[in-house]
Amino acid sequence: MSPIDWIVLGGTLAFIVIYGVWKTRGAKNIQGYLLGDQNMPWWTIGLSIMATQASAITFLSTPGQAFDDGMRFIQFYFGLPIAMVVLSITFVPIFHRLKVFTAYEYLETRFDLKTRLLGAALFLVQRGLAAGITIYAPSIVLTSLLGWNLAATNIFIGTLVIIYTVSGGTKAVSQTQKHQMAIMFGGIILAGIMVLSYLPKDIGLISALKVAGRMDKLNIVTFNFDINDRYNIWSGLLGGFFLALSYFGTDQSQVQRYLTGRSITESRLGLLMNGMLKIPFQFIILFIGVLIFLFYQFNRPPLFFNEVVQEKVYQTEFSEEYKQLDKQHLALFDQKKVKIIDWTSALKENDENRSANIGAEVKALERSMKALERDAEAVISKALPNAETQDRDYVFISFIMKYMPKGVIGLLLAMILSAAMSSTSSELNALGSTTTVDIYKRNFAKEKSDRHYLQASRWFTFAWGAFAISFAAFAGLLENLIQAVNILGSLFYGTILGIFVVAFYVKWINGTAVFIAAIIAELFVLYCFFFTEIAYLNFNLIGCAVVVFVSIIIQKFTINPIKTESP
Amino acid sequence: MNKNAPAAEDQEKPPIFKSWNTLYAFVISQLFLAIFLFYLITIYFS
Repeated sequence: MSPIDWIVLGGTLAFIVIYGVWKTRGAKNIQGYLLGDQNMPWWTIGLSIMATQASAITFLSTPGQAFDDGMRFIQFYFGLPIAMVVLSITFVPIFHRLKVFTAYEYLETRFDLKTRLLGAALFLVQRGLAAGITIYAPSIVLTSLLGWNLAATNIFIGTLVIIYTVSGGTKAVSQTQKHQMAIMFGGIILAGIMVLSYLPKDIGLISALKVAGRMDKLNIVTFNFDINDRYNIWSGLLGGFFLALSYFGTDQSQVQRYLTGRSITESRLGLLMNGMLKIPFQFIILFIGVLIFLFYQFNRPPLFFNEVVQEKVYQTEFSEEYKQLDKQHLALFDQKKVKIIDWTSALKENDENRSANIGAEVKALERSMKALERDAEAVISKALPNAETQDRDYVFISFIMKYMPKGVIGLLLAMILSAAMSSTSSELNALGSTTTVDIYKRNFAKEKSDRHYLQASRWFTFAWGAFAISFAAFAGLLENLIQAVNILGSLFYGTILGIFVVAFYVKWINGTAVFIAAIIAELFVLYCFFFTEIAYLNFNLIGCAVVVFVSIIIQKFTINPIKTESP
Repeated sequence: MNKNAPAAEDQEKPPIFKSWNTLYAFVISQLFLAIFLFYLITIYFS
């Protein structure tokens, strides 16, 4: 990295931390610290919600996802706008009316203390571990490519977040997220323009996109109904809806964002803004992946995108074997490039027959190149048994480092680290709030002063930050990070969502029934995870359904039905 | 509970739109419009 990149990166990160601390200095009470005095306008809430969801992995993995599998991943977000509408109608008015600090406070009002504690505990376990992975995931990619020290990078990212989150609480999180989102929006648009400018001028964008489309990279909407297929319109609308409902409705790291609204109107508008912008935002990131795919049709891609690992293979006895694969890969690329140029001219001339013939040849060459890439992964596994053989997460960052000009590299790295910081700060803020309000204040220190709780919140936020950094040190033991985050969420989200669904929609069920049902549901989900082959994304639906079903059975047949007052 | 919070104003209308239901309908219709556009892109370039 050049000095100008370091200046841009360091300057951006320093600005965010200093601004966060300075702008929110001197929080005087717990209400200001945990809910930002509830005076946030809708657009700050909307940006904050988006920044919380956008982690570094969003920017590192998503373009690689489109590069490899096309744009159909976007269907995963189709249920999100519907979930935002349901939340605006149901969850937001109740949370505001009850004037809660955390989502789990509502569970005590509706059910009882033990159900509230169960909801809070499930959140703390899941989010506490996920916060460590959120810090670790970008660190491992960046350190692997840039040669930074892994432990130092974990501590660096974690400490920056701790400084302003502990200092200014929720207000600092929301204020910094505005700037972080500006950097993310600016960075991703700039990256898109840059990649576009690198495409050969004489080819024409439409012809190039037709090539991408015919190679299944612009498969944005797919209608095939297949339960094993993770991304199609049906799984997106249904599964995506349930996932978004549980994430935005019951995860305190998101609930806390819209609780900062100065009124129900502001909170609703913030959520709806997220509902309207999330899909275009993901579309741009995925489209960049497609543009990078096109770029590599005219410029030689590496055999393996994590080139640091590749260099290490060259130092082993498998070097010759790998070099042979690389040579064959280059030869196939040269053949394919000639065909692709021919294909674009056929497409320009609307010569469908010629285009179909060349297309078939290109696809055959592409399959051969893919086969060589799989062979290269096998060689890497033999040469470096502990190396990660999945290179999808390295496609975008390797492109940035190799082809972007000086200064832009620094800005795009700032974008990735901003995303890491924005999601981590919301997580720490929510973990600190839940520990203070639902555990400490409710059970151990009921009648203390406002100042006492403010200090306690700061200490708990700090402690969770230290825990996340420590856990990040062990996250390397996990096989696949993104999968680990998703599995962790899916193990607990379904049960928490089930508790809230019963709370909102099945008014005649009481606390004991839902508490027992939630325990059974959680054990059942854990059983499914350890002893069955069920895809983990289904755990959200399974956990939720078991809580609702079992609580109805328990309430109907074993406990005297007690009509519970709706809040 | 947060006793200092401002009173919730459930009946307040959204800006620009006549009612919340109209705004919700707009958000959902925008989703289906996006899906339709994505479908056209998928078909056109495939």
